[in-house]
Amino acid sequence: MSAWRDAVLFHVARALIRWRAGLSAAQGWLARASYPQAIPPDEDKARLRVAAVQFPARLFASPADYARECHAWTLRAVEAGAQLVVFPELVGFVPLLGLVPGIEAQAARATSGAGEAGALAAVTRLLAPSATRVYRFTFQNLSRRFGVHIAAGSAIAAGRDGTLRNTAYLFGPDGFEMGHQPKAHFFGLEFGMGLTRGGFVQVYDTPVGKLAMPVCMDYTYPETARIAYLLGAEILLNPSADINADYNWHYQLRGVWSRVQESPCYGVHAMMVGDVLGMPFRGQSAIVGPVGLVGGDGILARADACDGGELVVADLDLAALREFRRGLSVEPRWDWCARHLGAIWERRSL
Amino acid sequence: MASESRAVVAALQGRQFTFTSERAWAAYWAQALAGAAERGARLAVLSGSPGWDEVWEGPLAEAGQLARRYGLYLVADIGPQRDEDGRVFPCLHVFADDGSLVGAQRQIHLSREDRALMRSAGEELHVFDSPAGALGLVVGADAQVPEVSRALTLLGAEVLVHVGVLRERSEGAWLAQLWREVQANQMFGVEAYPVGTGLVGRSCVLAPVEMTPDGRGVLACAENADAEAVVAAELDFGARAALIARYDILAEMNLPLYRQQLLSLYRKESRP
Repeated sequence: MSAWRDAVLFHVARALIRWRAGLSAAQGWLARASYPQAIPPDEDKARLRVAAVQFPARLFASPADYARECHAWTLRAVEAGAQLVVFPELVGFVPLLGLVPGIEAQAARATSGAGEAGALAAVTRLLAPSATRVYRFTFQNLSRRFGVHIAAGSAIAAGRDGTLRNTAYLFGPDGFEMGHQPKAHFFGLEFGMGLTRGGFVQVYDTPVGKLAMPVCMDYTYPETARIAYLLGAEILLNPSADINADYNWHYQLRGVWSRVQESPCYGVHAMMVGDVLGMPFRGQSAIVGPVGLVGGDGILARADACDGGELVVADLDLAALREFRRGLSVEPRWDWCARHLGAIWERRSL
Repeated sequence: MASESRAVVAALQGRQFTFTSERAWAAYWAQALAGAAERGARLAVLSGSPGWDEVWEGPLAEAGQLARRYGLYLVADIGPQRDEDGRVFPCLHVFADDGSLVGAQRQIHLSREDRALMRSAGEELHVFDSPAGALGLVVGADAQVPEVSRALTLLGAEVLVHVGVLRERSEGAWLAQLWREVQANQMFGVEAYPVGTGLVGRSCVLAPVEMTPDGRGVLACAENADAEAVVAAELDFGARAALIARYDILAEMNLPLYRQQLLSLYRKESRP
């Protein structure tokens, strides 16, 4: 009887979320908004202006409000001359938790433990299809109407087999999806969300450079960036959403900043910030590069604060990156890596 | 596995000299080692090399004597190894507190300078047991190739030891060395740099950021980048185990991804 009741409640809740996630109001608002055109990238892909959106998360109860917020940040980026705009991890999920009826009351009742993990997985499964539809619709519109490349952070994508993946998306200036990247390493909350890990890293050769977009925790693992580097990536896009009330800059340096030192690329780190449903998202968005290339501490631009919305903009010199790579002192012995890491991984897999 | 739950380790930041003899080398380091022993160090890591290009494993006997005299394990660059074919390998040596030679770790990946000196690259990685934990030695430019520290971690090392040279004064240039590897592998780190003209002494003892009071991942660091120093700190292996119990980086590795994609890329990039 309980299972039958749960199934009915699930379908009722999903129908209600679908209704709240209707796109007509958002469509109308996006049609009326203003769209200065982004500057097209150089044909030789030598220089590029990028922007990381430090997105102040809050709950949006309607797709139109969500679209308005995403439009405002994209507009700021385009007006700053950005040719590639990068949004944070789960920008297509966390703010859209506001579509779930009574979510704040549910979160206030939540207790730690297995029950909470189960509730989290249920909410994820309920919301993901509608949230991702709103998210894709919004960013496809923004990229096409501004004529700009948008690495739109990530959303929870449902596979045909029913699996859910935390997936980053890249939209081109024609509004079409240019690529996607499922997250391959999990942390914290994700273990309770019922997600499946990604099994590949992709590099996309675009008019704004060769881009890879592993997600957040993926950059704690040198292997992820190494795959992207060996596939030819020049810019590592790093959408993140870290729940960490004790945040400091050194916590964050363990991510893409560290990876671009060993696998020389530029890194664009876009953070979600703010407090949502008791979750303190913290971080400082940054645009980074190898210390030997960009000088100083390897930071081209960084957000001033870790808890407020901000736009971080910098120019990348892709020609200089290519020259820097040609002059590297250390040539890793890939044959050694294949022999030794390959054998160790084989043993650990048994 | 560490034989004790806590152990003091020290990075000895010395001046880069070309020593005139093995005895002079030993005499120079004796005072710093005495300082490390006074602070209870079970492991000391010497910065820099003896400075001889044509002497192989120069002060081998003297290094063992120093380790025994001060009752600590010693990691030192006492000059490169030469094999029967005449090939020369940059390496670090490990001595036990009874003065015996525990072993040596050859550098795996060479820098441009190493290649100009016609050095050869090592092949095998070793993990050395010590009272200050299982040691993995990261020799020179190996600190710039993350596969080395990762492999050492997977082989059971608990403490990464790096002896290198730092020429940039920026914080970023320093963090881009062993600090990065310590964080990626949830390890302790002991890093020794020499001081001298054009050299930056920033010897340090490192830990995962969660384990350090200010969240910087640094347990101790030389205060003066131009002066000799004994940089010592206590490693708490119990705290490290607790950190790993909360999130285990190695357990969460995506091995199917690495085996399927990274391994084939390594093979593709391998020189014939």
